[in-house]
Amino acid sequence: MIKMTNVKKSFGALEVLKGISLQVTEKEVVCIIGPSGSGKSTLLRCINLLENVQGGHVFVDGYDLTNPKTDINQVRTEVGMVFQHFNLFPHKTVLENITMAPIKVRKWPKDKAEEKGLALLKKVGLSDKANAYPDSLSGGQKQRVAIARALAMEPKIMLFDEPTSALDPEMVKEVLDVMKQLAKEGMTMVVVTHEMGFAREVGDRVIFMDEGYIIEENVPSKLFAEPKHERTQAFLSKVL
Amino acid sequence: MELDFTTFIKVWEYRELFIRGFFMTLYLTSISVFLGLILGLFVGLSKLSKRKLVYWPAKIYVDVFRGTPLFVQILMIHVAVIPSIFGIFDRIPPSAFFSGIVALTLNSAAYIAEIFRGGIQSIDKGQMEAARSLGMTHNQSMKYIILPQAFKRMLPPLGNEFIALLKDSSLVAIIAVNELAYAGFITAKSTFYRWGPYITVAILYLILTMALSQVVAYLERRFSTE
Amino acid sequence: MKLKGLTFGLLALILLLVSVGLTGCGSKETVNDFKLVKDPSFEVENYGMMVKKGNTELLEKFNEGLKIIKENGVYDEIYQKYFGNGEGKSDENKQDKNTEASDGKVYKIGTDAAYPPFEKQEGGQIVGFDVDILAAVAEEAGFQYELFHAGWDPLFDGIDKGNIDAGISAITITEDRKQLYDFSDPYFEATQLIMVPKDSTVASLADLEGKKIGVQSATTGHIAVQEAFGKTYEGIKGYEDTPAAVDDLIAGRLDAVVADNAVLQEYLKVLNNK
Repeated sequence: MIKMTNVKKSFGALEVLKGISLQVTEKEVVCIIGPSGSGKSTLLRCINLLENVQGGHVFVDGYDLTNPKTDINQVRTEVGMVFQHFNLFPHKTVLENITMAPIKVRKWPKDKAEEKGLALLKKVGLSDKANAYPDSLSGGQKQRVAIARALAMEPKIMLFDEPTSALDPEMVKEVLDVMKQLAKEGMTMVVVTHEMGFAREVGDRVIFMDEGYIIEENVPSKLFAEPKHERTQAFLSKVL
Repeated sequence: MELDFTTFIKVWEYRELFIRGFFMTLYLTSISVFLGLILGLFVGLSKLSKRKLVYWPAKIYVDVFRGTPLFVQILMIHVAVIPSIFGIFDRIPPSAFFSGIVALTLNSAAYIAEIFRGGIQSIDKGQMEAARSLGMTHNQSMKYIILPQAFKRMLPPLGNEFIALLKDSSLVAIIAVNELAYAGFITAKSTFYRWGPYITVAILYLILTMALSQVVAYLERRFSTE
Repeated sequence: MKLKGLTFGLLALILLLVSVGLTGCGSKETVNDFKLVKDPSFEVENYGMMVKKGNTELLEKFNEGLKIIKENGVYDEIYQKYFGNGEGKSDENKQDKNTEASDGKVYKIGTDAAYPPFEKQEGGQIVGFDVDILAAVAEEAGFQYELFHAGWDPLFDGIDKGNIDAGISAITITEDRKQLYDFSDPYFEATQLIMVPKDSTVASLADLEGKKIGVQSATTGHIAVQEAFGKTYEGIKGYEDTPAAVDDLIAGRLDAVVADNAVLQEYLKVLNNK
């Protein structure tokens, strides 16, 4: 589904990704962990080209994103993204947030989009909030709406960029539960997270990144139990 | 110069000038604001462009029109720019009213462009990213996500700009457009009474600006509850 | 950023503006030739040199010199230089300040050097019709003087206080001013003229009914047009100064300009020499 080869990315003089190669297969849930500033979020953003890569190639669902002829918007409809700060559209109701892209991009009729939107709201447990505005929701509710919004496009891949980092502790669970449900349904997911419990429980594979490199990757049980690299050990000893 | 009642009798004698001027000012400002909004949106968006060929002309335009006095712009446009352009086509240049509209539009568009640019830039970068990540094109994201939010933030400064333009439109009196300030000048100079004509002009401008503030306040209320 | 469409939109808007303007007005027959038309209703004003009431000594000298230069043709030469059709023998005027002074007194004469062609400042010097007349008069009458720029109001004030002996500044002789000051014989007749394109059929002020007339606000010309067509006549365009009105006449935005003969004659001269 996703294949990255030797991807490089710099912001000015600061090199953030120093040659990343990575493969994600269908229905796989990959969790990326690592200290802040290690390039995890940037890596994720390169998968739907919110950041331009400067070297290497990114393939998503067979499309070469680094080829200028590729229709990026087309690819993005196949890749849903959930942000740390939700980025809901504050001038639209919850339901409008969800139906907007299907109507404008997929050209669905309004009824169909709303039917889908309400079904998704039910799925994330927010049926009663359809006509509310995002500002009236709690952080956990906002993030669940954001997940529903991304799912409305019926993506093949879901990217999560620290989806619980901006939440109060008591709201983390409701969001993680929705994500677990998704994983169970067989969604291909790449999750940048600080929730080691989630990574251990849901992840098929965990990647540890530091200073722009992938240091170590393994199935969660192995990586958490017997990290090979000393930087992984150091990081895990701090967070576990 | 003493303030006595005769001064207002003089104004009454010239009332036609004031009535004509009142509506001319309203007309002049409305057209210029409308055209300025359209032009200002284009220029403002151009100033956000990463392409140098789009960005630089817009930047130079804004800098020139914000960095020089409107008074000078009106004179230049009326006596030099417009006659020259029409001269190329061997046409008689249109009236001072046309020159006034052009000058006020170009000037207000420069300010409006900056208001648009500021409004758009004040919207969190995440909004554009969220919209793009859903597969919306840049133009769709602008139209459905960024501009509606930015517009709400632009309303107060736009309101101020319209009120400023209404007052600044008095400067076209220098090219003998029959607007409100012109009515005041002509009456004051012709009658040698200063108080009456200028008080009348000031009151009429005040009525216009207060009415406009009410409209802007109403719009702000409407859009903030949405 | 995809702004191609926007840029085209912008260009289209500008084109629209221009084309709307272009279609809104007729084709231009290049008007470069103008003529001046007189109207019998226009009053004549006389310019005189002004002194403090009772200062007859200087007035007599001035009148004496003026009489001589009007007889010996010097006045006509100066007049032609400023108000002729540019054909006048514009020999360098001898501005040598008279040295054969009779009593050695140097008169202080003030002006408001901002009213061409009568007086203006050019390269630090005051030049103009009034200046040349004064020089010629002084030479003939034999007195010494110092001409300086005082400004309009300070000029009157200075004469009141005695700091300034006389003023020469295109001052119209009026009944009101005669109450307070003494005036020399008139040295210039000022009147209003109508400036129109050469092929115009306008022969009098009345012919301008319904047309756009440029004037300098609150001048004699403005008042004359107001009296003819009403104070609030829509066709009156009041400008800050006469050149601005003439600019719009040349551009074709006005049908006529009504203003002082001296200013219009000077303008016509410049236009014809262009």
